[in-house]
Amino acid sequence: MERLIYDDSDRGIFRVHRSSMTSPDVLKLENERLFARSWLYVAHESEIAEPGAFRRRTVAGRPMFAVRDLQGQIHVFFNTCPHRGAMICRQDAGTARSFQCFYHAWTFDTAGAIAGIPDRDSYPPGMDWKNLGLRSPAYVESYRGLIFINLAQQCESLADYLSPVRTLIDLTMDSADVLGGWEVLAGSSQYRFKANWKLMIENSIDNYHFDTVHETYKQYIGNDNKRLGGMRKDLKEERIGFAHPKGHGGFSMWPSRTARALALAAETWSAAECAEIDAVRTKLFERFGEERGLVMAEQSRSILIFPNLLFQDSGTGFRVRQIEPVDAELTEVRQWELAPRDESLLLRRRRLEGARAFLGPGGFASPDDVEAVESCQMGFRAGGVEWSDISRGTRSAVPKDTDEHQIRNFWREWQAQLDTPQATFALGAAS
Amino acid sequence: MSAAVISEPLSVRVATFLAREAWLLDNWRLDDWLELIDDDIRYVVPATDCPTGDADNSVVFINDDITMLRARVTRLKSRHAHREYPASRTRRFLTNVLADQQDDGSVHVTASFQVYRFRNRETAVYVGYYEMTLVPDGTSFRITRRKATLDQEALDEHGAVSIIL
Repeated sequence: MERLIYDDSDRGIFRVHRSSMTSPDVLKLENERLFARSWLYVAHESEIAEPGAFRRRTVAGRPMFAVRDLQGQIHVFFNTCPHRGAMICRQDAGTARSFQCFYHAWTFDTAGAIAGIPDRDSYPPGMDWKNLGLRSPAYVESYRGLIFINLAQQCESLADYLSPVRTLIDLTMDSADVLGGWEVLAGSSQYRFKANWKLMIENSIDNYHFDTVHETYKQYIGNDNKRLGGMRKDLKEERIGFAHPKGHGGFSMWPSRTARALALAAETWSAAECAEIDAVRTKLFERFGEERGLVMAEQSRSILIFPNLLFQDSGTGFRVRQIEPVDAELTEVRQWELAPRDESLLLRRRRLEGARAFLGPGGFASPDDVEAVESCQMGFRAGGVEWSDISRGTRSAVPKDTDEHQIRNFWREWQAQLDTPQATFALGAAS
Repeated sequence: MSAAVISEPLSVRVATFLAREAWLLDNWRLDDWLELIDDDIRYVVPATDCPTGDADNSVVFINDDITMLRARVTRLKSRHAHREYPASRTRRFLTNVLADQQDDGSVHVTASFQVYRFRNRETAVYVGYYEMTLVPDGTSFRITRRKATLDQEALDEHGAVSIIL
């Protein structure tokens, strides 16, 4: 396949061929060369906190489920019976002491090993029961509570994969330590839109569109400043785009001009809310020092964990957003909000209010992002234009959040992955 | 005239009211629709995977008080509400309406809904049920609580809840 990015560093011109976002052949290659060997998000450990707790998930289009076994170990299984194929886990969430396939009642313990086979005597004596347990991807690893899988036969560790952005991830993950650590809240945003998945990756790390697309959201937070605190207009906010190796990148804003759910109150918040925020800030400063504590309290970061997980520690809360292709022109978004376990209800309300208003599917911004990416996809059908231009800021000394630096970084890594032939695909080791 | 109207059975008065507010929404008469909303409104659309979630402590798609709902209407009337500009066509079907008069004079209503949304030659249907509390307002009502619970497992064909349900 021809290269689908045009990267002319001499002239500072960067383009992406639109067939990369319309062609089923490209999606096939992405499945073989990108999703089959990148670290992919499954769940957060708080979602399977108790022994026997499980969550059913789709990862790279595959039905899977994550379980904490009765000994406390985390597993991720392909959701298919090793016997004849039926799905083992048929509920989204719950707690189990074992998993029984409803088709022929093969039963597996929470670590995936066979626990019971009806009428086992009818099988020949040479049956290899050990290899008929539930199957897992070759690699299942966690970093700071985030559970990932890798379907490749061989890969670097999750910690190495994340190394270019680990300090940024740690900043967010550490910050809730003063309130009992992060947990995923009940309820998630799950929706599909009719556009290529990479359009939403671009959108999620693109701050160039914020002023143009999100006028109604800006009006809301500006005019009704009781809600999100209006703007600290006097402050000069440093907004930068960053691009790291392995395709990870995003943008940050500091110090935030709007309230932040964890530890930055708006002037207009109630005395009780401000007092609670002050208490959280004091704890952050005591525990992490004034400098790092202040960054935790007042810096917003939106990070793409390549290829398809957004890690957003924003003013409106902390969330992970997974963006997966269903087909070349249909994408599924799954978005979970996290909050500190011991956060007060008062601040929890503010957090959720902010998250809903901006990035919820019923909010004042996300619907217009969906409109924008669907509009691009429809525009691609017009033809007449082969390449999309992504050259903004190629000459910036310090990349701004509104430059397209971090988007180019994604595409370069994407192209590098697609250029590299895939080794034999690993089905995953027996448990 | 008003005496005749008030003597209608409660179920008829409620059904008439719901038909009228649906008509206003379908015709994008959003300011007129707001006239039917009480200042103490709580308008909730739960997340599709957590239909009984507590709006203060879990993710819901919409949890509007009057300020947010007015802001929503202001947004939807703006040409910057890109998902609804140009506005979609919608048609609401409400059935299985049950109305229960409460001791305090309010009326608790449940109803099934289908809301069709058409735009860019695509169709999306929101299917679910309403739980509403109406308070008497002359011969009519005002809505003081409106919860639209979707039956769909995810927003697979919708992409968003960009209209008022």
